[in-house]
Amino acid sequence: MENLLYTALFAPLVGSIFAGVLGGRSKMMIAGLVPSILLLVSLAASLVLLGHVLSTGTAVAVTMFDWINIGNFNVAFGFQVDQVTAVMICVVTVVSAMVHIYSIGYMDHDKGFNRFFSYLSLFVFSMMFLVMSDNFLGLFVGWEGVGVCSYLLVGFWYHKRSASWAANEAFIMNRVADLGMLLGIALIYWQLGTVKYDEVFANVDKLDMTVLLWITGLLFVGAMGKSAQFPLHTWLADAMEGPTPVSALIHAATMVTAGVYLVVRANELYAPVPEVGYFIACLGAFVAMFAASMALVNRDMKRIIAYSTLSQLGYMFVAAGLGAYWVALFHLMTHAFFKALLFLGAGNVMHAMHDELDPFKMGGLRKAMKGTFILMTLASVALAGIWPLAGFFSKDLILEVAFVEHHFILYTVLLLTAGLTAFYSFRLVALIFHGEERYKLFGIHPHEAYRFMLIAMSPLAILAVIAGFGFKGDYFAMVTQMLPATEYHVHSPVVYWTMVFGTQIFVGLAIAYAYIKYVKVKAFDPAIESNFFYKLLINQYYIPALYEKFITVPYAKLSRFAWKQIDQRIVDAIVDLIATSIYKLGEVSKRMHTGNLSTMLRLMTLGFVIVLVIALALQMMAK
Amino acid sequence: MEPVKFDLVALNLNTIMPMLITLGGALFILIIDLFKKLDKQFYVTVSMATMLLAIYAIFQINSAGRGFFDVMLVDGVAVISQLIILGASVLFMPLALTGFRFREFKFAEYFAFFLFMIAGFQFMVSTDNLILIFLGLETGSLALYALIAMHNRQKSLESALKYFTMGAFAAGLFAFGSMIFYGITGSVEIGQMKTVIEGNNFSNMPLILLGTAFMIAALGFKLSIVPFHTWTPDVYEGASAPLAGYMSIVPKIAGFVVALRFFDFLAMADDGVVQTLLWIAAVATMTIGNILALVQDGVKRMLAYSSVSHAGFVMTAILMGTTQAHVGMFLYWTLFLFTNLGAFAMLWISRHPSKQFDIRYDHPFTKFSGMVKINPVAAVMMAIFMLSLAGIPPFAVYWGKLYLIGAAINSDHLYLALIMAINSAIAVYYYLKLVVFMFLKDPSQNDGTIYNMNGTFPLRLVLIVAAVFVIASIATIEPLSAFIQTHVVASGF
Amino acid sequence: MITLNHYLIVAAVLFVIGMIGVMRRKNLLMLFFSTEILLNSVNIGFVALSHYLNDLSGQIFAFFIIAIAASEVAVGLGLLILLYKRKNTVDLDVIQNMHG
Repeated sequence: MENLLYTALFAPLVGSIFAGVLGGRSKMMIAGLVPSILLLVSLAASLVLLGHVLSTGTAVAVTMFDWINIGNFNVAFGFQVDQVTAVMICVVTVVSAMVHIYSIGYMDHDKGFNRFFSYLSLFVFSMMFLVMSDNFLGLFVGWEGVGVCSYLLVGFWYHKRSASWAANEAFIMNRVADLGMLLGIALIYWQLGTVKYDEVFANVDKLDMTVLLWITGLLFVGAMGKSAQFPLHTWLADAMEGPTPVSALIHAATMVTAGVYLVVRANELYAPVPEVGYFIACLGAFVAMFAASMALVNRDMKRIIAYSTLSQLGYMFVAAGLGAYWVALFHLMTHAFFKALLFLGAGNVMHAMHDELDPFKMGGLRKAMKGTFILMTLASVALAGIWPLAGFFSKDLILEVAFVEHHFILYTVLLLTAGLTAFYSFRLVALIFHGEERYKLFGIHPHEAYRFMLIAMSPLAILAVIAGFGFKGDYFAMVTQMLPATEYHVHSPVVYWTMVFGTQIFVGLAIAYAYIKYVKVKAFDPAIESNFFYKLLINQYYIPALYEKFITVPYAKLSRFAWKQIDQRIVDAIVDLIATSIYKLGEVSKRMHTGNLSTMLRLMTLGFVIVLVIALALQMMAK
Repeated sequence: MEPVKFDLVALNLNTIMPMLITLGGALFILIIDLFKKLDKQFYVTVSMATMLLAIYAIFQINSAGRGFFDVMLVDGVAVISQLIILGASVLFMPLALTGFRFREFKFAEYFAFFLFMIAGFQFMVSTDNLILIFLGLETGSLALYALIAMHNRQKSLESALKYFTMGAFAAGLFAFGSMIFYGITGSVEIGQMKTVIEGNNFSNMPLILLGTAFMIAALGFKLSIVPFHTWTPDVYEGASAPLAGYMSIVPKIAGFVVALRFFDFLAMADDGVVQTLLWIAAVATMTIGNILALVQDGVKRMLAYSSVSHAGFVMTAILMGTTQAHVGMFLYWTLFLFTNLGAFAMLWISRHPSKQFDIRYDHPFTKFSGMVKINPVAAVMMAIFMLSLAGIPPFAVYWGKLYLIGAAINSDHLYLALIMAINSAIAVYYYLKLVVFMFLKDPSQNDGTIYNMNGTFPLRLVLIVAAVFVIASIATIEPLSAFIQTHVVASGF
Repeated sequence: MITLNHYLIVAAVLFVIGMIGVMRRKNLLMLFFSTEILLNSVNIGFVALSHYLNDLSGQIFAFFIIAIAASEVAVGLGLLILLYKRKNTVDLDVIQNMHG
């Protein structure tokens, strides 16, 4: 089992190094194939590990070597695959294996083909490191690793100014949040003297309540950054500058869910402080609604899906915040499948439309792209939460959790958001695949993606369909060995069925409304641009503008001041002064070396006398 | 009256054998020269063979101790320093096989003097008898003056005269200092002096300090301790590059060994006067040498001042007086040997007898402008030696600096360690100045071969040996320091 | 009665004379004479001390100093002649091409 663990973890790294060695060369098919095959190996190993955990109920743990050993700060370099990790590694490897294969087609004509696979595999390695680590410090290393890879991949087309800007934004915003997380970890170590999960969780009751509040709060700040929760959410939409497979893998299925994973993993820290949990849930519900509203009007296909991701992350945090950790993890899993599928479909559309992102310029694509149409519709149905697809089982469960826990405001918000979700999803589908073929105006001849790309998407499609009813039972039995096994049942059957059907009908109506409204659209209607709500939403509630005005610009001014006034005028001046005075001293003493032999001999005698005088003076003093 | 006994075994001829071999080699060259004029390849070969034989003889000394009427004292320190002296000589000797013709190598006397000089320094390090030290010192120095002057140029004569005159003065100081110590202790052997002075519990301190002042002045001249260093830049500038490099290593290690033998017990006196004196001298030397090196225009002159600074750095080992410091001293000097060998060999290869780069200097900084573009191999080599001299890891001298600063900290000389560190930082500036000239400026020449026209296979081989050692020092540092450690400990330092 | 101290005082006075000569003289030949005076003052001191201490090594030292002084003169005069041949003078102020 240990070797399987190592295989699952290190196969992507090997792939990354292999592609990285070829990174400087022009496109080589082998640079895409080898990492993909290695990822399939990693996937197979992960599945076997999952089977092992599922059948035996015991975790696989290894300690590679003592990692940090300074004084009495001792961290072993250890990994473990328990029930939660097993779910995570399977999700990660499934999605990334499919994304790798898909990318071979998607990046076909890109100059940075080899480099792309190197980064992508490195990302997978970092993500595996993050979820497999058995201590907070290893988690942090993986956390930073995925951050770096995200930076590299968002800025993959670094020659585009917007791409490098977005990469920087994502990186810097995450650094701010990571500081919080690092402080949280430091606090844990300071209080408990260990960062290993088992030891930390076993000693939670020794912690002071205030300290625990700080720890959980600080850790959640980290989670907020990585999972793009308000107010650190702006980077996620801008990160869509990266290649679409990257958006599918990193900014939908895996990395952004790391925050949820962190809260789930540290559930024993969060359990004693329900007020933090409640805050998380409220924030999650707010973000769910807030992001969905922005998705309603956006004219950028990928951004719409990104806001949808944000919204769904909000759902997960509601579940996690309310203590339904297994529900959060379940939604994480199903969401990974259908959202990755949705993004990959969007990638196909983008390719077909020559990188056009505005759905108002598409329409009627279902004839040209039948496979993509089916897959994306499937993903949208799953996202909207229609029975019997995956989204229904996980998302409705979250609604039930909110209801059963008597948080009716949260429940209402989430219910409304479910409607919004259905609306914007099918607005997108309608605009892209139905109605008039508006793209003809722009002289584009769309074509379907490579067959193997569709085949690579199909496992995700199957999972998006069956993950709900197929896996729920086994999944519940497995993860509740670790996580609190609270089942959320609405006691009255009348209420229950009303809720289920009510939700389904509500969602169905939203879908129907979206279709009716957008199937017949001929072109974008500029009249709406003057609408107050439209302006508010399309400008993302003016939050980026506010950040620009109140944070970025003043900070730039401050930096400039520190550079020009403090660094150059004071620090540099002092350093220069020291350097020039030493140099001047040299020039002066240089003049003393006249090269005249008499002077040299006199200097020698003088030196002798000085030595003698100092010696005798010291001798006097010593007495 | 007892008859004179002459017992060969009691003489312990082994102890004197290495010097006898070098002296024999020198005489052999002189005698051959009487009958037939031969070219320099022959003399170089004979000299090399002689020196290698002498090294072999050193390894044959299995019982360290006294010999030859108890005048010789071949202890571990003597063995290491003789190995450094002979090793450096073996490495510098092939530099005579230049591409261009230089006048001094036509004379057999050049090589004979070279061997005599080596024998002189060998004697100097393997005895504690002041007479023999003085004799060895003068033999070595007088031969060296002649060698410098043989590089037939106006500047060489000037530097030889300056060196000679100051050397004669220093000899007078050494003799007078010896006389004072003879008067205090009634002996000319350092070991005896130590016993007597410590037996009297340093009772005659003012007189001892007077003698010490003379000795510091005399040895300070040899070691280029400020303010007795004024000859160094002029002599380095006037002498040929290999000889300048040689002078930066061999006479100084001989001087250091004598200083170690002489000052070690004086510095350990309770009142700490001599220790403070050495402290001031070492700090002044490393700082002033550094500051002056900053403002030089000629590379050789810069290296001269920098070697003054290095001498001050190593001088600290004597005042610390711990075993670690003494090991550090020899270690530093071995590493410095290879680095300076490389740097000066590089200058020598780039020497052109007719082409003038500057009115005054053979090797102005501007000569190396943009060298990396026209002769990248040479530029990279030179850069490695400069980085090593600057004490940048992982190159050779870095380990020496690390060892000595570590020794300073371990012996509670914290301010000294700090000053050493600051000085190392200043030194980086002027070494990197050359690197900047080589790598960042525009070339001053069109043709890169101008930098290695003086080069031949033996010269390149020497250069490669130096470069390999400097780069691979990270691997050799452990066994080297272990070897030095055993020898230093065996001789009680 | 001439005691050890008298000899030592003579040696010291001679040494100081030599030292002043080394510092003051611009004529190289005179400078070399001064260094000889230095060494010979040491000789007086050594012989006197040797007699006083009833120990031979001081006198041996003195002999070696004489030998060294002689070889120094040989080398020094050789260099002096070279200089004279080139510059037609033995004034040491002519040799300051190198400075700084």
